[in-house]
Amino acid sequence: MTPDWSLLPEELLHAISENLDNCFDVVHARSICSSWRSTVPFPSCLLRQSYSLPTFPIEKEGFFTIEKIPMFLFRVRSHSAALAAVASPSEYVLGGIGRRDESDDHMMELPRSPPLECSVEFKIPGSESDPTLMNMLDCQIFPLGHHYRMIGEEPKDYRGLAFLPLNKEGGEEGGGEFVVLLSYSNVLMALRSSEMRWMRVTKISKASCSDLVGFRGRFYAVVLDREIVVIDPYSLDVTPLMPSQALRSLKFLVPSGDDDELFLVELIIPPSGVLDFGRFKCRVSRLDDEEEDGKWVEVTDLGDRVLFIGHLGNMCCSAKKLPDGYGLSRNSLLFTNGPGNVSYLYKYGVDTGNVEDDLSFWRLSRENRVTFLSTYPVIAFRVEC
Amino acid sequence: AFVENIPEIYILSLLFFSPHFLYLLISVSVLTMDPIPGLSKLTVSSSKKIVLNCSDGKSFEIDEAVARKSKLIADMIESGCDGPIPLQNVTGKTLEKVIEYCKRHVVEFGPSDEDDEEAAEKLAIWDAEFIKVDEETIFHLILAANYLNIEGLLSLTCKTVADYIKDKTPEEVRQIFGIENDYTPEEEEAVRKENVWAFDPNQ
Repeated sequence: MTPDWSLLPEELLHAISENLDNCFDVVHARSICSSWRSTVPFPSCLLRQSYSLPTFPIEKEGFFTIEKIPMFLFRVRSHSAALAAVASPSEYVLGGIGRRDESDDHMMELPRSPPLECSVEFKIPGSESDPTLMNMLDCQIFPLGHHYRMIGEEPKDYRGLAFLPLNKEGGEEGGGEFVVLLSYSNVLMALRSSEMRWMRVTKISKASCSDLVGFRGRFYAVVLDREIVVIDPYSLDVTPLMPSQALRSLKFLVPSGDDDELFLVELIIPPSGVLDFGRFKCRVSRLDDEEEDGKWVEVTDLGDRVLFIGHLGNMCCSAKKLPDGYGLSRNSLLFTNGPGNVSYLYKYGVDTGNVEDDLSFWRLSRENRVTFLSTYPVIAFRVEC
Repeated sequence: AFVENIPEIYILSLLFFSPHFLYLLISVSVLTMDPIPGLSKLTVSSSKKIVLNCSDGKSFEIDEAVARKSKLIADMIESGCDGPIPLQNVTGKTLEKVIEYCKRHVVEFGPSDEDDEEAAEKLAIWDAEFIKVDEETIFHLILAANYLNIEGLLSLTCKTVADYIKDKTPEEVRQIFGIENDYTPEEEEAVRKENVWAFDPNQ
């Protein structure tokens, strides 16, 4: 009896697809034949959950649409013909992914018969040539978690948002309750899905919040770039949560995975007058929320992660599966905001060559030069090995 | 159990010559007569055999401990099934391989933690060699593991199939497993269009 794999029972196909950690492999499995397509579930991490919320301020009629967008880092692995011009083993593309049919932003006419395997529309940064389809099998793919973004026209003074599902069980499929925080330049508004109306978070003074993050049932925010607070999603109570050793620094909150870890990166402002970007240093801590209040614990390594901080948001990728020698090394930070289009990775304990310097900080590592090839709509960069 | 073979007359004669053997005689006779059901299981190594009958007529006799790796069989034993167990959905060739897996995976004691780690590593290496079979055998193994409810074998086979799918185009996977592309041309176009993604515009 020749085996008919297309007739594999549902529970077995489910068990097999659970072993595929790359969600695009699951999409491929679904593309094999019609019975597999109807049995193998579409990967939930690629579902762009959408939420309709009333607008604030209420002058305008209508709704805000907030979408949950999966973020990925692609390492371009092999030389595909289209990328031959700039191809090298250490090229990376970072961005949010969506179904092409649903996106309005079409760069190109689709070829008459696009490939069966997953590909993503991509314009080679800095070159004149036409956009092309980058084959995902040519890339090593790192999931970076999800971001929530407002679709369509953003209201005036809008700074950012954070989304927190309240009961995890129903939350993932969009069935559960949630709380959304919207940050404007001088006010922070909150909305509970059970009530669908905006309330002011009064305990935050007229100061803007950057880096709003929902993590393990609470909101964390950076106020005025300097102070960290915890906001309870039910009571909207605001409590400060600062590192025990205060430093004059710009603070960034970086979530890892799905409620996996929360990192605090502090970019330490050098004493007045010195604006040499090269002399900046960072301190990194992780949130230890075992106890009720939570505290920041300084770390010297990131558990083999790479942290990205910048205009597309702050996120983390696990570099465990990244082979050595491909530029982006584990336990490093990359600021994608610039200035300029050349930067370096921050690593812990870099020797500055200056005897007076305390080496127990994260500093720019001159060995890993990063050249940004594009920052819109994706961040494309090359890292020297 | 070595005393079973000593003829009773010999024991009786020893009895006459030494009172110490009285105790031994009583113990031996109690043991051999097995007045307490199941007592023989405690004193003799557990070698109760289970017979499995396959769909194609083949029969296998295996230790109960090995048979119990299958939750299906274990449940049947629990509910009093004593005679040969019929397995309609498994052929002899497949069952032989399944039994090989179960025999290797019957839990063995490790006196210390270190041994357990080393034993686990050795087991993993054995598993990797065990599953190096053609896709037809894997197909039968995965269905058998599912039907017989053997957790370890099920996860090993599922993981192996997943490894065949990883990093491959759908067409390559079709070839490996001999799956026919049963999409109509319109359905195929729809699938292809759905597999094109776009980067989210960054506002």
